[in-house]
Amino acid sequence: MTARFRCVTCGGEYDDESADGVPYYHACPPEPLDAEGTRWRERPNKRDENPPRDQGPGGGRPRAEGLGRVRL
Amino acid sequence: MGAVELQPHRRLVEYAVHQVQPPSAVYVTVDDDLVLRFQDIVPSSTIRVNTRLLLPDGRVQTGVHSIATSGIRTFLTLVVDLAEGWLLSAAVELAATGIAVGRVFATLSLRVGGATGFPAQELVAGYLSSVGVLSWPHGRHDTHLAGRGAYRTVTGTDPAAGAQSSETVPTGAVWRLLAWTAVLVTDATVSNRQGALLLDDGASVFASCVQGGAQSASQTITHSYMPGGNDAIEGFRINGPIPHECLIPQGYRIRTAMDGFQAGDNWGAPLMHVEEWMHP
Repeated sequence: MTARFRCVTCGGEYDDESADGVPYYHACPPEPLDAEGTRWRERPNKRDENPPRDQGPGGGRPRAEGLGRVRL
Repeated sequence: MGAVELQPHRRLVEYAVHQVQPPSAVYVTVDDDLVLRFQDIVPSSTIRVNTRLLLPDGRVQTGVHSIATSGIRTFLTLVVDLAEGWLLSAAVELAATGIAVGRVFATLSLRVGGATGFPAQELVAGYLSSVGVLSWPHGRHDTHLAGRGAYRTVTGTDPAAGAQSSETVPTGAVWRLLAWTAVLVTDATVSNRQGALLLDDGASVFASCVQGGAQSASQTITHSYMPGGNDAIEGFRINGPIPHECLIPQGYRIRTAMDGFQAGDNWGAPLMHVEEWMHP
């Protein structure tokens, strides 16, 4: 069942599942250093929910926890 | 007309009906096994490997072996132990309805020597669907980018005010971006905001897709990008172009950049239409 979350690191809000039932993995946006966006840096405590490549089924361990998330 | 007289035809080919040799070129022993390896985005479903093996005593042994899908693109493996005999056929099927192509990529191989052995022969490789079974012999040997992918609509993250939108192609996926759209609400600060959609590989920007139109203060405008997008501006819509046939694999990003962007400007969640394949 789909749940909605807010990322504590970046404040972005998202559903954890796409409309077709496929899990959605939030990753914090980088911080741009110029208006063109070609210079940027990763956000401190970046959250990246993509699972590590070797993770088995049923796992929920994100690649980078960051500051966590709260359920809305 | 007279009656047609049929002449008896003497067959040139004769077939053995006793001591018939096995029709399969794949002789296997108990030291061999079949290995199914797959990735999928079909949650809560089952993949089956169905086998027919001709045993030395002439009996045909059938087998049905099942494994649950992961739904998260991770690699899963099912090992099917074999008896001594000749492999007559093997089929891999997805036990689900309404699943189109592009969501399960599977390979079935013959392995020699068990867990510490090596693959001796790839039997089939390709995408499964609800109506598409991979079967050997005469099966497909596709790569993960063969044919059409899965057509998906993905809603991304709704960024906090003052932040740009950014979406990362998920682990285990390759996307072809077909369309991207999001709403931008600007604050009262007088400034023209001129946007672009950037594609980067996680380190470097390799495509900067710039819109011709600009959004001013206190406006709500839908920004859209698509191949062939022609910089059209109409009322509360601004379009822009993105590359045709641009495949972006796992870890690459689709993100916005905007000249004149203010701390009170607020992007909504992007809606992306993508074609997706599995990334090995």
